[in-house]
Amino acid sequence: MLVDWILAFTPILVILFLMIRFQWGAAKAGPAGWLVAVVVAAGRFGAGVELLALAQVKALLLTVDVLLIIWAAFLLYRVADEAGAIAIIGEALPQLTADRGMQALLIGWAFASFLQGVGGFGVPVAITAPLLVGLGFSPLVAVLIPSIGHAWAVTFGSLASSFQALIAATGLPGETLAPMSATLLGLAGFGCGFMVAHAADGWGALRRLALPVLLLGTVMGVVQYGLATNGLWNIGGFGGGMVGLAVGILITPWYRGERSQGSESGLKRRSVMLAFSGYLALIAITLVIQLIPPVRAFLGQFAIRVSFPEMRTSLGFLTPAGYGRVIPLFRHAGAILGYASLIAYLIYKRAGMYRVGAAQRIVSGTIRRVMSSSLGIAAMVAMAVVMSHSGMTDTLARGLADAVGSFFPLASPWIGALGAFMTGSNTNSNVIFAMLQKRTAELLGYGLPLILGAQTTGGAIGSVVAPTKIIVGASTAGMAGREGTVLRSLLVYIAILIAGVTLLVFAFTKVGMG
Amino acid sequence: MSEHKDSPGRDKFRWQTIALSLILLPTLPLYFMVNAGHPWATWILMALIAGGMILGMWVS
Repeated sequence: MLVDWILAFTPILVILFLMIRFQWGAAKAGPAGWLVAVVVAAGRFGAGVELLALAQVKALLLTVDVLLIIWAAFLLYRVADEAGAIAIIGEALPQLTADRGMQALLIGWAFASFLQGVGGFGVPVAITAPLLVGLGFSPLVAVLIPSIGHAWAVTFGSLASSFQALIAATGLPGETLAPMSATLLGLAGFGCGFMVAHAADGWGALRRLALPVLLLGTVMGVVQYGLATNGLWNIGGFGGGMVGLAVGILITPWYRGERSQGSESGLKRRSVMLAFSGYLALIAITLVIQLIPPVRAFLGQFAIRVSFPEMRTSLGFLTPAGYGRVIPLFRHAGAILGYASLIAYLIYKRAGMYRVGAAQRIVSGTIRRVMSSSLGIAAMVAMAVVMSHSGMTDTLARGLADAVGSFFPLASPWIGALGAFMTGSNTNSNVIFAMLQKRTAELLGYGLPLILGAQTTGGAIGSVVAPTKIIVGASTAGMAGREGTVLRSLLVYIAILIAGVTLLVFAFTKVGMG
Repeated sequence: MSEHKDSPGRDKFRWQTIALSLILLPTLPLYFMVNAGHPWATWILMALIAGGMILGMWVS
């Protein structure tokens, strides 16, 4: 029924409208969406107060699951940034080559992807755009390059918080979702590399830099795939970016350009290694916890596990009884990041890289930075859970399935991209749209990993044109007030990338992969 | 001077912290109240959560 479909869509519509028309942030628009969802669920879809209350408890588990990672990921980033580690790496890279295209690939693709892996939150563009301006790129190109370059690494970046949101929102295991998501994102990575080369040095760079693009794209995509499909998705983007950066540095002698006087001294090399050591600690801890069964089993004993009764609306929509999101407290990706943050802090402190009061600045800076996004995520997750438990998501999915039918795979990446563009993040897009995509795919008989992979890949790519990210990027490259120019230029690249992903998804459905 | 400049940001942060606490913390007793069949307590806790949402919308 059309009225039901429109009402079910209202919470999403309200969020999108408030964010676009009034430029509200997620922390302001999210609660509005929740309020509308609760009113519609109770008033039209027959959700009683008990159902709404239990949905809220389920939402709390999902929220904690996602927030633990976001908080701890930013803590690790602050630990390294306060020590000057990010600045050291950023200063060392431009000295390796004078070839503009190679500089763009190294800094705007590999390094930006690495930064997305460890930080996210707009950090890749904010850090690399000024570096590129300093190397002589125009401010516009300096924003375009890292914006395009890190797009493929968004889902498994930020220690995979967006992927965790996909798992949480759909209830499907990460092992099921990872292969197709990593495949689509890895293939999109090649597109990112070629577009970075084009943005940096025109059409000629595409042919001249084809080899490094193919090499780095393969290395980063394969490493991300390998990590993500072996239960290590929280370091998927980070690992891919780090190995890509290492390989990029190794191949720069073949693309050195005209100068490179003053290659890095032994001392500089040592400080770069030290700067990376905090992140090496993360790799070591992750591998120990994930790959040594007794350690994994021991830490897995302490878990938050809440069982829920069957829930039914007065209209008869049923959610079966079962456990909510299980959170293994000491083995959770957020906990692993916490251990890594502590070890990285001790390493940098022992090396004398902190000024007085660093610990306090790290903690307060982290809490201040994550509060707003935490509020937005808490509200949007709650909204999504209310919608799915009251039958609103089901109504939306049925309407969508009827409307687009067999063309649904063509729409999936664009829905993900639209969600990320509107809400400013791949994580938010997954929270809002993943359940809808899942239900529609079930109704139409498409493979869930493919459709949800398309959702998150579209979301990852679409997130880089979100107004909030563009504002951050433009301001750091000296283009404040000219965000419209950045958006116009970036949209062309991003639209081509998403169109490429759409064709891939469609092709996969035709060869029986979804 | 910088303290004056920071103060609106600090206030916003403080109110957002309160809003997030109002959204998340009442959820813990909510589970037990629903299972124990206390509708009045369920309503009160849901009202607190809604209050947190409205506060979050207001201050962000």
